[in-house]
Amino acid sequence: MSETGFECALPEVAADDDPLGGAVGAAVRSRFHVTDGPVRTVDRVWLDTFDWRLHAAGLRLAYTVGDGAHSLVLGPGAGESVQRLSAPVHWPSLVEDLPEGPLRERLRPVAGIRALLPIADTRSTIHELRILNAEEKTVVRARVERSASSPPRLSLVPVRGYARQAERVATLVAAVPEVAPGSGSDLDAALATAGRRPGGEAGPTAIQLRPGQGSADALARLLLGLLDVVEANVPGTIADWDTEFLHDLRVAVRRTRSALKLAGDALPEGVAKRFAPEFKWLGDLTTPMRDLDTLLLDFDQLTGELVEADAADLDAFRAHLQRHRAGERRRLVRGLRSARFGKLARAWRAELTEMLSPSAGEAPESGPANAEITSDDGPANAAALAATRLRRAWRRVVRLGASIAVDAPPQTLHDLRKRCKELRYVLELFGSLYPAGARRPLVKELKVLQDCLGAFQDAEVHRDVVRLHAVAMMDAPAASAATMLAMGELVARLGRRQRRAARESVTRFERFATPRNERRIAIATETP
Amino acid sequence: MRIFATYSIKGGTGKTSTAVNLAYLASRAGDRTLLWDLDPQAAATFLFRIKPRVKGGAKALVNRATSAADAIKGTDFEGLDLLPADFTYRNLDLVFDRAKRSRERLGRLLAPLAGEYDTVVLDCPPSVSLVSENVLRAANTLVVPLIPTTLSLRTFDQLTEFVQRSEPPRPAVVAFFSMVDRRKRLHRDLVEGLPGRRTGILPVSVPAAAVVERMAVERAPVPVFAARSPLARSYESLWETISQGPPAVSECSLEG
Repeated sequence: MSETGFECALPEVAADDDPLGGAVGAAVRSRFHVTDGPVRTVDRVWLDTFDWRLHAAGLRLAYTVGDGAHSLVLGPGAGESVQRLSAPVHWPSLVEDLPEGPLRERLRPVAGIRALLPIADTRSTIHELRILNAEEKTVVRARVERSASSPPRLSLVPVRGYARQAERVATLVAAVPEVAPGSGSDLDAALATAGRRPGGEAGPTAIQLRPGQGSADALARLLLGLLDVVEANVPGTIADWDTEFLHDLRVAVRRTRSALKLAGDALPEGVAKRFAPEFKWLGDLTTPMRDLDTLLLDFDQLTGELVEADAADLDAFRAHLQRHRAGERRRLVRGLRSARFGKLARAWRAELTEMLSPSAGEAPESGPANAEITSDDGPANAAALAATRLRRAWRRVVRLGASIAVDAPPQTLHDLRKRCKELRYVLELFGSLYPAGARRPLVKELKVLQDCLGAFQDAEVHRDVVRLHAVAMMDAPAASAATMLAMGELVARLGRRQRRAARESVTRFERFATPRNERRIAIATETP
Repeated sequence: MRIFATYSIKGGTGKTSTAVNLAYLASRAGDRTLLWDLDPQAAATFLFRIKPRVKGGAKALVNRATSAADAIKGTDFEGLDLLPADFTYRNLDLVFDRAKRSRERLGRLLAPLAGEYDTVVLDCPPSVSLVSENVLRAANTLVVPLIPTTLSLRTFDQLTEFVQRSEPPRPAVVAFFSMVDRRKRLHRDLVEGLPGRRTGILPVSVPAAAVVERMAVERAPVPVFAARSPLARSYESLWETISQGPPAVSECSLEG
């Protein structure tokens, strides 16, 4: 039995009979004492982040309501921890907003800034039992759980230090022929009933393209995947459950725009030209709120760096930003609920669906699978599209990067950042067509460069935001001299950060634009 | 990880009962809790039906031949584990003395458990010894059960002086009245008058009650089998007070 316990489905037995079920009960009682514990009905709201971070970390979190008490239970098995709550919690909720305690501390590094969302509701009857050794010491905690959605399940959780005896109990149970070992929690059953898959959808970067696939078909599949991401993140952005919904929505929009820009010629004529302005509108719609989000997320760290001013001097500025964010959010929500956005999503989906090849996406006329066949109508197949666009994106990065310097105008570094993003999107979206040995190190090194360029750009944007709001706050009655001085220091700190990031970006670019990476690009784009 | 130690120079003041009940209440509040029974008499270990045995004894534990984590046993109560007593703990002073950094050994044994537990309660044997010095360096808070008598107060003075003289880091020291018999006038006077006049003595008193003896019969903390008893409520009140962070007490002098 593992440290986290043993779980199995039990044969169906009437609840008033032996809670362990006749055969299982008899097997356990042949060697151990079993004491009956309480029976309770528990309503659970199962929680996870939108991107299933708890599931990925092997955790299950439930908000339980029973006997008038509210608790959070983080499991599974022996590592289970329970936090009783003094008041009900409304979901979704950020981990930061949960009551202080060890459970919140365990959740914090896993969930991060993502909200905990309800993913399923269940109602169960739980019968607690204890399995005792000859000294009447509990060596295993047993729990028989019954619910409408799944067969009765037995969980055995070994008490620490009694693994050997717990192993014996598990062996006795597993030897009963009617027992079906395996986990399959109430959560799994509830998710299966609701038609949801733990872990969520794989996303567009996991789409497996084939080299001989038609280029329009391949691109349409990727773009449909991106549209799915945009649409999936709209409700969370509108409700403002956490800031990552807007971030992920923006990334999907940017990827779409980059794909249209770099590979739009693979689509039927006029399509890219028609939709590109609409996706630009969507991207621009989301920018002001994201700029405020990044500043507010970074606020504590920034105020922690202040030397002259006190962090509290910026409280009024933070409150001002939050008020401003509320206004920007209203504007964003209007945009996402507008007829223009609805029409864009519908028309884009219809257009892309029409491009899908009925014959599973093979190029209409078969030729050498990975050859770079291009014509006036664009690349003939996915391999050719992936190869030509990767080379183009790489060339643009290298060309622009050659002109950057520590004292280059901010726009140059900003443009380089955009080119690097395009290169990254090409590497990720067409990832299944490049050899992993060439692609992975490229992405890894590119990521480091992008982080530096991102830090440069964030500092630039944040400085502009602080300056802009300083002007607005001068007219506000709440703006004190201390706040204004602290904002001045903030601008200076951001300036220092930006200069540091510029230096780092130049160094990182030199380490990225190397003959070795050029060879990697050649390997990724060559015909095998 | 917060470390509380129930400590007293005198024996028979209710240290073990306090340690067991506080540890249980910490786990009931959701803390992952470890109780370390440092007393070779092994009363706390007995209460939880656990064998008073650590593989290799005190020497193996201190020299890390046996890791503290491997010696820990789960109790019958979820979230509450016990590091059992062992009869060789009677020589713990000697074992510490032979080790390097002899005053820091206890803290070093607990340090690797910081990620596993939120609260640790040390049930200490009654003495002033190298074990006590280790406890002073490891614990954040000493919780001192005080029988309301003049002699007990004198002993408490000795303890606070001992703490003040010891090398930093020093724990906060809080006392509460234990085994209070309200039929006795001296008990009533001290319990009612002293906490307001003297820092470090909490306004919490735990009554002398027959129910405490039932712990050994029920093999469980008081709130488990006598949830509504005044004794259970006193321990709950004590836990509530100290778990919110005790007042730092280094100047335990009588005012007026």
